[in-house]
Amino acid sequence: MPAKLVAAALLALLSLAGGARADTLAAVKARGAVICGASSETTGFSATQVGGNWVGLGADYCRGLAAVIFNDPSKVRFVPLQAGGGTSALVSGQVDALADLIPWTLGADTEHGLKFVGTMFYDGQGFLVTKASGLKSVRDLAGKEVCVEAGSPAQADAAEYFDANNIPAKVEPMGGREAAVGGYVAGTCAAYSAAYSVLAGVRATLSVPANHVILADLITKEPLSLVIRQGDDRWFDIARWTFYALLDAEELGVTQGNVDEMLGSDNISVRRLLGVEGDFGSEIGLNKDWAYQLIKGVGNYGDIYDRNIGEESPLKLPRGLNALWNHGGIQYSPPVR
Amino acid sequence: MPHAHRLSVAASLRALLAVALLLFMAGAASASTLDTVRARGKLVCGSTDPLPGFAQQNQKDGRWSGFDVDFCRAVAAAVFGDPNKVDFRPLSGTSRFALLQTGAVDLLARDAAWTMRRDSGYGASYVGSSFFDGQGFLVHQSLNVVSAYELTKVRVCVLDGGDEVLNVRDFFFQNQAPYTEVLYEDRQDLTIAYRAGLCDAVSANASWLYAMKRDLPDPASNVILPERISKDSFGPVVRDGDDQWFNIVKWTLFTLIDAEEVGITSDNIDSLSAAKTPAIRRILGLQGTFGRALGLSPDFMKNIIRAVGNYGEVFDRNFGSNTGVSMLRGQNALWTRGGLLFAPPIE
Repeated sequence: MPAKLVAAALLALLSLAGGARADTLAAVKARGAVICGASSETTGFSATQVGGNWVGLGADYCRGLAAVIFNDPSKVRFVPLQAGGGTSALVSGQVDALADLIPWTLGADTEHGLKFVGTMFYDGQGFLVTKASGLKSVRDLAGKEVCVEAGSPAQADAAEYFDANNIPAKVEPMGGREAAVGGYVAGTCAAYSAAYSVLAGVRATLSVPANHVILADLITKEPLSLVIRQGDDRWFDIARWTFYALLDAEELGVTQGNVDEMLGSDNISVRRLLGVEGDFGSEIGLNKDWAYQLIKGVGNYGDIYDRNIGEESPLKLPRGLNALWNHGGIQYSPPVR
Repeated sequence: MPHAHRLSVAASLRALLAVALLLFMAGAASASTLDTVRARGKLVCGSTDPLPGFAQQNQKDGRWSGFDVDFCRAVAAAVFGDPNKVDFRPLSGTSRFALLQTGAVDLLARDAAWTMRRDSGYGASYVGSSFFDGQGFLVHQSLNVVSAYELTKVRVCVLDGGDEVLNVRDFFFQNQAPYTEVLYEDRQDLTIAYRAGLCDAVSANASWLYAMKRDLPDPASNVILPERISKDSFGPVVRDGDDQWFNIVKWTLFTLIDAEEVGITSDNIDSLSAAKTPAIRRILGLQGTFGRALGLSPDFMKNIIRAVGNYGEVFDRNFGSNTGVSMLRGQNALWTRGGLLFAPPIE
């Protein structure tokens, strides 16, 4: 009788409710790998291929996702995407996350179905000048020419900044990045202006990188961030806390090198992070040693930074704003507790 | 078999109830919070464990004011263009998540400190940090210290049995300074003991120390030392399952911060309509169509700032010198001024 009907209705409703909620974690587990989209844009930051190996801040973050789910950072597949193709790849479900870092803005955050996870690198528009020029600040560019890529946001932002601050510098739009850098190298311009992350890469390719400096002043803020799609809160929790655990580990002094030793730490915060005390993984579908696997697999935030864009890399970028909050920067995470 | 018959009816009823519950849950999950709030005609906004400065009620007219209340008003301004369309609900620390999940409240303007458990275990998410806290020390001026690192051979009142006493032990151990613990189980006892001279310093979260200081007989002769020996941040919380609402509440917070960064205040906002700076024009809704994707009007950011001011104005109104506590901005200064407050740009 009705009991059967009721049961059928129940089942139908259950499957409806289930279908309405996409379960990325279940799909990833069934597949046996995390899939990350990568459009190879900025060396060191977004994932680029070096000798068949995907490297970059975003690539290591994707390996971190694999580590927390599979205890194995290699269970990740990188899917090459066209520049700017990340949004549709994510929203269509083709990829689980992006290895690209995306500038977090109100428009990007609300208009395309993306969900921003956290800021992996605080970037902004800066200026590359020669050491010999003696230029020290943006104010010193008064009366000088500044090369930018024509049509790039850098062109409009530089003009706007000079205008608003009454600095009589001249913005020289050049056709493409190569031409803009060429204009700077040839001495047509006293400075080349682009995102700090781009300037670092450009400087590394110049004949004597040490002859060039990036001014400390940044004239825009551009938080380069990790993104997933909307509609899956558990996947958001996993993505968010994987990122936060990287920062927490650095703050607590847990590194890829000492993580095994740290299992024996007396510090309650370290014990919670590594799953020695309490279980913070099960609520988001992970094992309780998820963060141990993360640090063992890819290191903490500082390890990842140094390897890809910091001291151990050709870019040798100082931490600056990307230092931890208690070391002069603004990288901050809530605790695993 | 009347007995068996009754059983099967009971079973069917239970099943029907389950179906009804599922239907309700599916409805709750898919109904947009924004639509619900609009249909109700007002926002229901909670805050956990009201603390002076964050939320207090006027004894005469019953009106609530404070940092949390201003955030609720900001969200109401974003949704309705009217900051008064809000009911403020003070909540206890034990029941707030259930109220959020069932839809009895639309958001928590502030919850207990942001931790992984609270962010992932209760079907709710923090949208970001709106207030950076942390454990500090309150001392009497006569102690003549300006830094926690000068504290030695002092009696410290602290709550027993939690992280706070562990943090104190860790701090004095690292600092190699002798001290005496005076332990209490109840927070109110810390105040009583300090006022009675049973300890030289009280250690607790700075937000609570400022609230305590406010009620001391002579607030100005007590000092909250600048060091923070733990990290804690507060922020607005929404229930899971509604990304649009998550974004509305998140960008209300970011608007307050970005407005301070570009210099828009509740005082100058009406004189800025001729401004040329794109960052200002976008916040005022003169350029771009940002409200649309959030289901809000293009001038929602203007409405927020006109109603409560920018982040700095909200902070000063509730913690500044006119309140008697003169809280320093510290970590709650903008990132451009040595603090940690940062919001992605409005563009």
